[in-house]
Amino acid sequence: MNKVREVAAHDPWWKTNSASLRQGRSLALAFARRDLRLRYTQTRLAWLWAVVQPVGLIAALTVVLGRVFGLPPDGLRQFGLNLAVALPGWIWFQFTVSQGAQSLISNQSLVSKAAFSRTALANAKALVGLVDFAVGTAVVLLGLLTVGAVEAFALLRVPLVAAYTALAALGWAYLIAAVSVRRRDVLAVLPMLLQILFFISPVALPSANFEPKGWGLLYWLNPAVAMADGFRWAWLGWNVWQPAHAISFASGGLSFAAGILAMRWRSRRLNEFLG
Amino acid sequence: MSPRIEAVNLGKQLGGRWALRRLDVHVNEGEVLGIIGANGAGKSTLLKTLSGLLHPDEGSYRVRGSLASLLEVGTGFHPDLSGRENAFLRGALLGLSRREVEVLLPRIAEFAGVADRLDEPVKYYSSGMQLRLGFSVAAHLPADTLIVDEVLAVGDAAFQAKSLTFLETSWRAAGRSVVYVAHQLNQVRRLCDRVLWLDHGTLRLEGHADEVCDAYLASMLEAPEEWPDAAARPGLGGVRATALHVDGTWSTGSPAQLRVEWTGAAADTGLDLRISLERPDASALTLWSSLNSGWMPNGASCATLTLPELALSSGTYLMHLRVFVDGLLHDEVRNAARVVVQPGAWQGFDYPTPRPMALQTQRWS
Repeated sequence: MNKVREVAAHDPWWKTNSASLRQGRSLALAFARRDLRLRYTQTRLAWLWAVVQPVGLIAALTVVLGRVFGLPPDGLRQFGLNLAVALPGWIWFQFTVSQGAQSLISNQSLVSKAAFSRTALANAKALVGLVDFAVGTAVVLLGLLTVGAVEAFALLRVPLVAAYTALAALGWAYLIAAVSVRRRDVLAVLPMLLQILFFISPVALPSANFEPKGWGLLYWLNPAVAMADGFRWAWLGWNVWQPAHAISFASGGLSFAAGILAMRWRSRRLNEFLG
Repeated sequence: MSPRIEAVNLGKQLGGRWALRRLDVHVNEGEVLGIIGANGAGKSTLLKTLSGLLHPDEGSYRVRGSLASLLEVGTGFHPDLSGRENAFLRGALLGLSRREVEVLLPRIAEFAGVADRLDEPVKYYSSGMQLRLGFSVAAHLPADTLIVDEVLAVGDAAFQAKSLTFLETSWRAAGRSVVYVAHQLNQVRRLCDRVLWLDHGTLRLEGHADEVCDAYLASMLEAPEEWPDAAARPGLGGVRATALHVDGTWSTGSPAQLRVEWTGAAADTGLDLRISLERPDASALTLWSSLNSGWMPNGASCATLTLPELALSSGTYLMHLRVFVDGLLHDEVRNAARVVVQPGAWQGFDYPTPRPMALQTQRWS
């Protein structure tokens, strides 16, 4: 009731005067609810699709890549596990980045008429992706229990890696969303970039033994490396860690910080660009 | 009591042009502030700046308490979602939780007249229903200050009247403030305590609603337009007016004169020069008729009207001239002349009225 909002022309750009945290949270939930409702309004199988997508991808990639590499049955099982535990996390990452990056442009009419926390739109996409991730996680858990490969502390470790996944994905989403307002080209190349990222990230295969030097450093800067290996550690208890994983984790954390700052910087003149 | 909104020296540049410049605005508790001005005067820029959608390039502002800003309330609903879901979303945009909206929803739906269709997708609503729901959600939210842009310009007359009454009773009475932008000046007059008139991004006039609205209307007619071509005017055309002169300065309570000139053969009987006096918003105040005064032209082509004691309060008036012969319309000129009446005493007393008014000789007993 007594809150006062003071705005001056010379305020530094990082000073935020927008909505409170509480508003941002309820708004992200409201947007996520809207998306989920819309997504399943005119479908027959509704929630089943959330199961079909990861299962289908795991099966297809295991069979196809297993054939390509000519893996023996034992190797195939290993390969399948590798992929199955990392894939739901990757799908979530990819969904949050690609959808979150478009969130300012595709909600232009809302953004130009109502003042609200701009990150809420991308956060909502992360929440929608979280629903798919939860379904995928349940499927993985069932699968791992069937083959008896699940690690004892998995259910404590998975949320940790999931939290990191959300952080890194949102950081990228904020950054690209902030840039896309002026340079929409980034949205055009984003699907291709994510596709490439899928193949150079250790989603289907375990992380490579690159030295973090030269081009190798570029590989470790990918936050998805830490994510995919993190899920392997969480689910299967594999010790996949190398010192260079710290670079990947740091890259994910820094993208989040950079994303927050980019959104603040962009918010200042957002409606002048959106019109 | 400190103001709800206080802006000092506010300025905003858009596209290299100052859309807003050197503007001081304050909105008190329980006050309805109207903002008028031509298109491009900076009204929307001001609302967007105060709402936090645009950052000022000059000056500063301060908002005390919660502020609900609804620019174009009727738009922005998602067609595939139900009215209920859209209401939740709208509430969330203004900082309300689902539960808080849930409590308000029965009143919102009832006011909008959509109570029985709340679970239908909004795409099956008429556009009027969508607008009503949009306004209703906005108006029922518990904010200290409401910023509304052109909300009541749409919707049917009954709903407009209902909304105005609602803002008057529920909002103003509860000490909440409203900043209201509208083109419909009669709504501004009814609702607003104080009005700002913006012109090219700066403040042109600030004051009582009637005073500012009238000045605004008068300015739009400032350059007295040429009369339309005689052939383009209504009437039979046997007699055509050629001029209407206001003589000297007119002031309340003093003698005043005007002169009408015409061409064409008029029978001595039956010529009637009628001048109806209007406010700038075209509402008529009084009528002067030459026939009713018993005057005959006797072959003349000009006549003078003398008002021994001008019974008009100060302000701007327009004259609507019509020429009748034997009850048939021969000529008609809207806005034939414009007169600014200076303040003066009427029968010994001042009548400071906020807008132009006709005064009467009166006797109380």
